[in-house]
Amino acid sequence: MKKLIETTGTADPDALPGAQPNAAPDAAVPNERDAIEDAAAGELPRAGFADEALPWLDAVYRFSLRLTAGNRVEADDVVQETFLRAYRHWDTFRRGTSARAWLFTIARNVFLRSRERLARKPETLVSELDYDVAEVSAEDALRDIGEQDPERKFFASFIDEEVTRAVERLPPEFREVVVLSDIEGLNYAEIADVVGVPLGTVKSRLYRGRRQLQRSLYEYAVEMGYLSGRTE
Amino acid sequence: MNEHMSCSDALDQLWALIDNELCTDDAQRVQEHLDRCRRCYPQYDFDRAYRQLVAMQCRETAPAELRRKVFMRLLEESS
Repeated sequence: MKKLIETTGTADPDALPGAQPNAAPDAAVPNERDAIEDAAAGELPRAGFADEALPWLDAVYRFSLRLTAGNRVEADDVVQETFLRAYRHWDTFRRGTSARAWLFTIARNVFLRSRERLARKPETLVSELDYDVAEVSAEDALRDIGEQDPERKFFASFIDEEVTRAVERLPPEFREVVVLSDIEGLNYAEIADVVGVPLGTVKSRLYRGRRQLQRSLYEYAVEMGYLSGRTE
Repeated sequence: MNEHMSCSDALDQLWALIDNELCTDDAQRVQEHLDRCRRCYPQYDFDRAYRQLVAMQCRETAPAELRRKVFMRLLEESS
C-alpha cells in the first residue's frame, strides 16, 4: 500500500476578496494538492477525475459536516463514500457541468441513506407555511439592527464557532440550502439540482433559513450583551 | 423604462441582487432604488453583511487523515 499525504496543502481559507460584496468569496476555489497527493492522483485511471472531482474535497467535507450537524466521524464517512461512488460512476458525470454540484448531490444522497439505514429518528421537517409570529417579531428586531448599527458591530462581534453552531441548529431543509448558497456559493439553479426541489422552493427556503440564522445570531448577541435587544 | 421601483418590489428582489441572480437591467433598477431609499438600504446593507460573515466563517478544510483515507480508497478501487 502506498504511503500518502502528510499535509493538507489546501487553499488559504482566509483569502477573501473584500471588493466583491455580493460574491460568496472563495467558495468556488478548489483545494490544492500536495506532491504526494499529486502522485497518487496521477495513478487514478479514470480520466479527469483527479482534476475535476478531487479539488472539491474540502467543499464536500464542509457540506458533509454541516449536513451531519458537526458530527466529524459521520462527515468523514460521508466524504469517503461520496468520492468512492463518484469514482465508480464517473462515466455518468456530464462533462461541462459542475463537478462540485454533482459531488454535493452524491454527498446528500449518501447522508440521507445512511440516516435511513441507521433508522434514526428523522429530523423535524419544516412546513413552508409555518411562518409564525415569533419569526415576524424577529424580523422587526433584525430590521432595527440594520437601521441602528451602521458600523456593523453586530456582525463583527461573532467568532467562527458561534456562526457554525447557529448554522447547525437550522432545520435540515433550511440548513442545506443556506450552506450551499452562503458558504459554498452555488447559484439557485445548482442548489435546485442538488436538493431536487423547484427554484421557487430554493428561494423560499433560503429566505427563511437566512432569517432564522440572523435571528439566532441576534439572540446570541443579546444574550452575550453585544446588543441591548428590544424592549417591548 | 425608468419607472421608480416600490420599496416592496425592491425588498422582494433584495436577496436575488445580493446573490447575483438578477439580470443586469433588474439589478440596476434595484440598485438605483437602494441608492436613494433610506428605508431599504439598511436592510440591504445588513443582509449583505450577514452574507459576508457566513461566507467568511465555516471555512474548514478536510483533515489530512481524511484526505489520506479518500486517496487510499480510490487507489484500492482502481487496483
